[in-house]
Amino acid sequence: MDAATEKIILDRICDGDEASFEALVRAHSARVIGLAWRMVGNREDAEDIAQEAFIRLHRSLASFRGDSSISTWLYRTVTRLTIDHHRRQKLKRKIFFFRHADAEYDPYELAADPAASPGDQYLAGEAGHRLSRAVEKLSVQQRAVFNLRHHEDLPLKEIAAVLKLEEGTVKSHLHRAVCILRKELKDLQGGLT
Amino acid sequence: MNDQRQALSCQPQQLLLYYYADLEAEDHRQVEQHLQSCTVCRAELSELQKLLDAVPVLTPELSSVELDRFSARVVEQVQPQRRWFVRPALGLALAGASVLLITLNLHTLLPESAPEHKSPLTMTVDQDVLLNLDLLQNLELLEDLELMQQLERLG
Repeated sequence: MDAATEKIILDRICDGDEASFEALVRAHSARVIGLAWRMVGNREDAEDIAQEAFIRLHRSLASFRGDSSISTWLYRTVTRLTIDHHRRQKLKRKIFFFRHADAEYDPYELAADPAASPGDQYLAGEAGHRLSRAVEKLSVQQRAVFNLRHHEDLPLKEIAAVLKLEEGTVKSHLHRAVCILRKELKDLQGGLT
Repeated sequence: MNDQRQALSCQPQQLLLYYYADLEAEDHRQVEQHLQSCTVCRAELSELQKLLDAVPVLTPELSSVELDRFSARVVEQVQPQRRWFVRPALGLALAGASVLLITLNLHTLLPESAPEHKSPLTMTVDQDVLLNLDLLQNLELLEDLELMQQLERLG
């Protein structure tokens, strides 16, 4: 969607055209859900995050000055929401351990892995499972940079704009992410597809 | 001497950017030139290519029906806000009517209803539950992990 078309759609939405907003959501939802899915690892949370991003976009439309494209704005919001999501998950895990410090068994290890439910993962098979596990080793920032570069094909400059980071920092995150993946997937190279 | 000069110009980070075509034209040309003479970097680039080509570029497949359902869900979520803004008079009238009804109900019910006494024990338990609920529901407020770590240290 080019900038001129985007501007026309935004004007229509601001005039109360609900159909235009629905069309905008429809046009961006696959990529937005996809990014969130790769970031959090399961579809349910990914759809919730994508939905929240679109709701925030709708709330911000009146003040949307067009400094960035809608897709950049959405990528930025989804990345922030997934970082918050990971922070919350981490905290929940801490509280969980804190509460069961005296228990003989490790309750978190016994709990079902939500990312492993059948049909829920976007990568199937052993290789896909290994890749998902390898991606989990990346920090949230590294994961965001790698996803935006490798899967979304965004140039580094745009990634820097999306994540509000220096371009040098983005390069550094990308380099570290690839080093970790290389280490984790050493024995699978050439057999991931 | 020649080997030393070659080793100094080896920059693994540049190879990654070269793979993703993220280098400026001049840097791209320099890396290409370097690759012609450096077997180490050629091997490194080949390893990188093998890995990154093997990581499939995947977008989770969502059917047209699923995307329609998702879009409808989002639109449904934002619609009430829009209606409120579009018809502020109706919203204000409804809010006023609600306040009036609550006030009338309070006046009717208050003299007849006996004040409910709770034992101090029940009140304490309720308060504890409320405090825990607050803690769990507002996890965003607990961003400062140091607090948790301090609690853990205190046992």
